[in-house]
Amino acid sequence: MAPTTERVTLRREISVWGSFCWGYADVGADVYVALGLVMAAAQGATPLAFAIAGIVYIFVGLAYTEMAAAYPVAGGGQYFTLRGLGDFWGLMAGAALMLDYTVDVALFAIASAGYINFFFPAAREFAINIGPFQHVNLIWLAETLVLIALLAVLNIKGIRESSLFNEVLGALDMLMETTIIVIGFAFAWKPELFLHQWQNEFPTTKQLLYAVSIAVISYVGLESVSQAAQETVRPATVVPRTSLALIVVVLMFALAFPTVSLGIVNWSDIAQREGDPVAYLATHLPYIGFLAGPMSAILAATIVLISANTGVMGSSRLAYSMAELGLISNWLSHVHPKFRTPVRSILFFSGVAAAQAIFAFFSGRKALETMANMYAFGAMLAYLLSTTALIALRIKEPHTPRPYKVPLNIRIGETEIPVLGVLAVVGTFLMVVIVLWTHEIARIMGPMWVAAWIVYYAWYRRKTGKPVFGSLQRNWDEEQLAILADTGEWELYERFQIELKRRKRHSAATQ
Amino acid sequence: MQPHPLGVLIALAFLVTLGITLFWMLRLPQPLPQEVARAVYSVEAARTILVPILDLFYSERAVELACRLGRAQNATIVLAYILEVPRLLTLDAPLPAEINERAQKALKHAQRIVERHGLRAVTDTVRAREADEGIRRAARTYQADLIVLGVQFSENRVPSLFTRTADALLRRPPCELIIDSLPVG
Repeated sequence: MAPTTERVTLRREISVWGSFCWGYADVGADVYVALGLVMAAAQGATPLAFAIAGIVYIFVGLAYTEMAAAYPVAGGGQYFTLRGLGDFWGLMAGAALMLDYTVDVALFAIASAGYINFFFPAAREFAINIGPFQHVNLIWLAETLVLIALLAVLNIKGIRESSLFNEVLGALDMLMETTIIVIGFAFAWKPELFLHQWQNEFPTTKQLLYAVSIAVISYVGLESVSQAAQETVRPATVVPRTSLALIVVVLMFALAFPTVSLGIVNWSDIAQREGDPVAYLATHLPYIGFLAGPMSAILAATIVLISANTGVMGSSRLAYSMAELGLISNWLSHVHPKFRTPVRSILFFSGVAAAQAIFAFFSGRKALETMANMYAFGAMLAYLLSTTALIALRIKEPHTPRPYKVPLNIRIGETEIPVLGVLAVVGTFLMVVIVLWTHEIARIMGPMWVAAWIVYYAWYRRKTGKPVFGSLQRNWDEEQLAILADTGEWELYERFQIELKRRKRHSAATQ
Repeated sequence: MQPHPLGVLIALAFLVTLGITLFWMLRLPQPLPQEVARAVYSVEAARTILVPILDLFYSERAVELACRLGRAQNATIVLAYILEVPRLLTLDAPLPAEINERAQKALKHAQRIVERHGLRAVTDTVRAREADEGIRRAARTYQADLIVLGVQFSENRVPSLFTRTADALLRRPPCELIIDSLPVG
């Protein structure tokens, strides 16, 4: 029998709800962590900080929606940037996103283990000294590593199991968050307390900007929907819906939590409970308050674990995409013949996340701050490049069928320039500036991470005889047709075919 | 615990907005099979529609039909009056004024039909030895995606300009071709 040469690719299993939950799980967990941090900086103006960050999020979200629907492949922002701006910038975006995903896995696995230890105080308090390292909690570290390993296995086994995990927990989490907000507003919210804090506890401009830069982190999640697009059923139809719904739902929760909090308790009380602000809020609710402690601990443990899972999924798919596009070694793009998942990239980047977690436990609180700051840096840099790519793609590929288009466009010849896309570029650029200005550690460590990737990239490209600053020749039209045929999006396939024929005829006529 | 009306209102608004958003998201449109999609988009692809005018009376329906086909995609309707020049004359030989007048009148009439639909009309007079040759040339010049030809077949089966042109175009269409004919008799 002749050996089979058929290429193994990612399988399409994610439903509309699954696609939504990939994003929601990621963002939902961020809000749990960000609420206390943002409130500590923005005080009575916390809803304003979330609203300002939310405006940028809407612009970025719409840009992602358009590109993820038009190019439903693994890679997300990195793929869009490479296609729009070229290989080098694609590598930059990939490096920034990889920073986000690996930090995401490490941070949220630690947080999940921490919430589990709510029920095991002895494990939470355990600490020993190992040489120069003081107060190292080896039990908590072991729990974290077990969780990372568990998530890696789940992702290797297959996206269906992993997606089901997200779908069930995502639904439970949304139900509980909604319950807290609805009961909070309906039975405990005092507008006079909210107004009092807004008027008397307004922060300085720098504090507010710092808060905005953290609040932006709580919106990082749309990337996950794009990453999962290659495994989503009917992505050109599903992704715009889930992305737009995600923009609305996440914005609602992100604005509702600080608003309801400031109408029930003092901002300083929430700020002091950085670790479990939502749990603290829940204990002040009527009727369900007595259950709030353990319930919110379980809730938080699950949602942050989902977020960590999203990080494992995102980093492995991103590595798969980067290897496929010739930015990093092909070794990482190997898909397991039985499970049809990128097994090597899952193991490799779960390992990187585990190393970051070990670093965090051995370095104390400073390391966690560093990781949080780098998370902000990575997200904003990736968003800046991706939104720039949106405009570049509109110019370079006006003929590509777009099931969803960012509204408000200015037509110049054949090209439509998206006004909101331009605002997204401006907004994300300002956010990068704010992050670098207000985060002392991120301004050094973030660029260093990206620089390390560039060094590896330059070495790999030279070794394989590919240009470092130039781009590889790619037949995007053929690739696009293959993507559309593979997804079964026949409407877009036919539309694209017709556009190709028209261009061919036009170029023949003008020659 | 005294609920505040504003708080209750916000809670309700939150629930309703969340419900509507999720309901909209989960209601996916049915997918189109490839064959259906091909049919849908081959019609949508007709951005330039050529209507050859051989005789105004029979072309009127074709112009109207072309406008209806092109309305959704805001197509350009090319109205080409085809003049068959006898072989005894050169192609650019001056023709009797009444022929030119008839052509201009027919084109103006057809143009009004197009403008009623709010579409862009391009008019031209094409000289050719055979009508089908003129139509082919116009299709190439204007890069037509679709030709809509209005013809009338005679009851006695005597070959006419219409049947001859339709037959020649059907054998080797330069692009997608629709022939519109009313029932005989």
